[in-house]
Amino acid sequence: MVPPTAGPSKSANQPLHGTKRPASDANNDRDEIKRVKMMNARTILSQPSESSLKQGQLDVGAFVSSRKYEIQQLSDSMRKSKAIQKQQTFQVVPRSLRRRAASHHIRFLPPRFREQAQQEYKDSGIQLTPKKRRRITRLHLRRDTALKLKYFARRRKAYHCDRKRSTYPVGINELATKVIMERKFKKRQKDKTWLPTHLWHAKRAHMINKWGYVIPSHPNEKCFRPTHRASQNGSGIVFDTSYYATMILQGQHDSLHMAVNIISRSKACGKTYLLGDRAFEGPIYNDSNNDCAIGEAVIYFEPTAELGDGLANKCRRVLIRVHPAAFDETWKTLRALVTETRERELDPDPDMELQDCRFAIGSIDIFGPKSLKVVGHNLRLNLEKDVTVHQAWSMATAAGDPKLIPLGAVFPLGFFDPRTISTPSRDRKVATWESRDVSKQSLICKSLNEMARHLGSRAPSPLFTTQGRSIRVEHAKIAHGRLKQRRAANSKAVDAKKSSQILLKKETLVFNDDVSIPAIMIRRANGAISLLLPWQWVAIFFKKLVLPAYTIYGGLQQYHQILCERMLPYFPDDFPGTPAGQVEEREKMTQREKEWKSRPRSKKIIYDALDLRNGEKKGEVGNPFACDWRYLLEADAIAGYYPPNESANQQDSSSTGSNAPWMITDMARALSERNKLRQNLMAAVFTVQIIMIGRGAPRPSARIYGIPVRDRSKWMQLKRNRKIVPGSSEYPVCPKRDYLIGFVTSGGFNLKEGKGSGIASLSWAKVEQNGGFNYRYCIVRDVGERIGRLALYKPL
Amino acid sequence: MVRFKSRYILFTVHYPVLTDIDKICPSDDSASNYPARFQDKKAPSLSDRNILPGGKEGNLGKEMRTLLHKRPAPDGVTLNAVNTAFRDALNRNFGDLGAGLVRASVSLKYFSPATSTGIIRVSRDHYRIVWAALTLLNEIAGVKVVITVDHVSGTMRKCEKVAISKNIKVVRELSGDL
Repeated sequence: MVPPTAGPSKSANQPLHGTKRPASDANNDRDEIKRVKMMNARTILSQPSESSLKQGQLDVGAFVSSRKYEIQQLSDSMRKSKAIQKQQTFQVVPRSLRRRAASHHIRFLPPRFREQAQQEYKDSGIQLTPKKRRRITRLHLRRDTALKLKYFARRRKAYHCDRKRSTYPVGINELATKVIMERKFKKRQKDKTWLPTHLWHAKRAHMINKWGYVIPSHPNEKCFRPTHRASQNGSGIVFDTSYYATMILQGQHDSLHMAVNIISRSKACGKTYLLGDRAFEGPIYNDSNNDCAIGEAVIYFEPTAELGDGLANKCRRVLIRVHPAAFDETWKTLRALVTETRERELDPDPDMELQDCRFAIGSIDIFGPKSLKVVGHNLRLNLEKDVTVHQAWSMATAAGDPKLIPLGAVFPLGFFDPRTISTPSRDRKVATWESRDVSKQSLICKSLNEMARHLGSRAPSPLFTTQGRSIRVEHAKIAHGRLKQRRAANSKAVDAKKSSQILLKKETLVFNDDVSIPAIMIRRANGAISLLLPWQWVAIFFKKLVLPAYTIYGGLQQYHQILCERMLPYFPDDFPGTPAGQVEEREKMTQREKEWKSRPRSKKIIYDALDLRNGEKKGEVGNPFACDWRYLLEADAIAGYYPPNESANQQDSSSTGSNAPWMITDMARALSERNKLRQNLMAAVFTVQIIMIGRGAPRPSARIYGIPVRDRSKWMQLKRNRKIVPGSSEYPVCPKRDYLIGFVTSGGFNLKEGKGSGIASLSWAKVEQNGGFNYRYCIVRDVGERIGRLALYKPL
Repeated sequence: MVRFKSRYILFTVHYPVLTDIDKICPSDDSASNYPARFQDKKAPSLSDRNILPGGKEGNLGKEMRTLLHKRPAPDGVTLNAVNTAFRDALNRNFGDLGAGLVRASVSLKYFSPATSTGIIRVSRDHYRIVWAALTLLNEIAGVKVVITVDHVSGTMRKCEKVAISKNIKVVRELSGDL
């Protein structure tokens, strides 16, 4: 084939102002090279025409190939011109790793960019901050020697045995003493508890002090969309949820059964739960007679071989995990139950005890369709010689999506120290696995079952006991040494077995002093995986999960956002019927009011001047800074519905203010028994999902109205006729206060649905008054807004 | 700071009156890959026929027209020839003023004689002059030509992408059309 010619001719490419070619010296050689490189990048090669035209015949094959050649060259040109763009190092560094100090301090760039940056900084003449030089005076010398001696002393194993904790304290029948994470910062942890990953998060996220813990609230970068992407399509998002309170109830099987029965109203006592195959996740109640839920909990019985008659007196354990906001109430209830069981006359259980493991067991929550895969890549099971389990584990983790695991499934696992195993390099992206493939799903189910079987899921996890949890964390350098050891041994073994077909898995290389870190993996109702670990190991596992595989980290706001997108309620915000929810609401109200008061009058909404134009007097309905449950559940408003005698009696006998809402957790039961429960339902409240029909996104504390019967047709018209816009005259006016049925507790634009959505709580009595439970349309109006928007609600 | 903005014009050269292609036939080695209708050599002789696309060639089927839509350039038409002819056209049609306005910024970035496709770069302010000059250009190196503009855009990449997609379409039609 005739060699291709360069595209643009010399005449076209001549520099505009006729610059002289400089005499060559070292600098100009580099310029020359650059120039040639630039020219090469900008040239598009083309074929002369002879190749496809021969003797008056048009050769189809050559014709097509000349097209293909052109395609190739144009693509190459696009690629080359992109590559030739001179990009500085700081432009290439991913957004989350960019630091301001990197502009004059090489140390703040990721290691792989430092060399390149060194050259660039030299070229552009930036004044780099020099490395700190140590002053050498006698005092300093003595100090340095002292430090060195300390360092050498530390390297001795004996030092570690004395100094480092093996496990963290557990309170038996009393609250545990909280743990101090970094001794250097002891003073800062006087009245708050740090999470195991505090230092890591503090550099990357904005922290808040909540429920006695310092928890990341949101990352430093903007991450509304990345969070959505990570939890929906991407590698996943990891949270340190060690602030969740864990308690272990220990005692005879029968008494445990009874206790759990009471707090979960017998929902957690099904056979699978008692066996320890699955973890129960649902509402728990306090001991009194009313149906007031405290919050949501995860209840996991320690697995046993079988449920039989001989079980009644056997010692067993139950793990109960609650949100810290609900911990106080739960602890009180359980503690009372324990004392009662110990001291009752009929069949007492003197050994029953309640362990407060809040600072002994930490956890990591992972969301995302590839999250299992990330776990599988970075953590390895330590099970000697059990190849089938490893295969099942790799099959299960290859699936990636936690939603494929059955709800509440629990896996007691034992991992290697993740610092001592090889993990895939950063550049290797996690490959996709079509989770939609039905055949693959069944394969996964099978492999999961197999794995559970082989793991002896009927054998209890060491995480339950203090001895099981006390695996000491080695110094990082020692762990790294172990990694090198393992790699060397592995490559030796691979070389030795090169001829054989068997691929030696790294997992089967177990050294004598390898630790097996107990962990429990639970598949949660919100589609996440909770990985329960001993407190001292959480930070290490967390770092290993976040760094390599493009998973992102998040704070409370991101957790809230993910649940909101999945239309699931988030504790405590979306549980106004619980004491914890009410506390949260009060806090938010004071916060909002404070902010509002501090703004100048021209820059804030004046709620008193709000004119809804529906014939009522001006002003916002209820307290504009909160979901005003008191306003909604005012006795007068409801008295008209219930006969006055009954309601008067009820008010006297109720313990808390009758206006405090309580949450209905079982809608079906409430619906069927409503006549029986009529008195109690006055202040009852139930959770619904809200989906907007047109535009608009509900914000927290937005007001929800039922639609008056005569206006229904007007509102329904909005659905058909898109041109009726809030400004126009046909747009219906917001209903009056009587029609208020509830408030939005969380809401916003839902990237998953593509429209506004939220979680709300509606008052039972009001809904019944305003049209019953079958008419699901409602109007949502933000606080301070005049316009109400049409929405649908769906009870959870 | 105002940026210097440019336009990239993707154009094709057509040869309305050309008699040097007599028949269309498949190459010997890849005979199996191409549609059956090209297999037989009974294609009619194309001499003395006006083969403008859309012209009324009775027995030239749509497939032939596809092929000859962008046929390879005849011998005289090379990058330099196109360049010269184009600047000539500018001068003739728009005079010294017109030619001077664009001369600094216009450049022929790419021309392939194999496919008769080219890309010209102009400053954004005067691209219409260039476009008009291309339209009025009717002879390159003695060969009668008609130039059509396929795409105008602010970046080179977009023009390249359009060229690629057109080529892909042709290739797909010819090789997938079995």
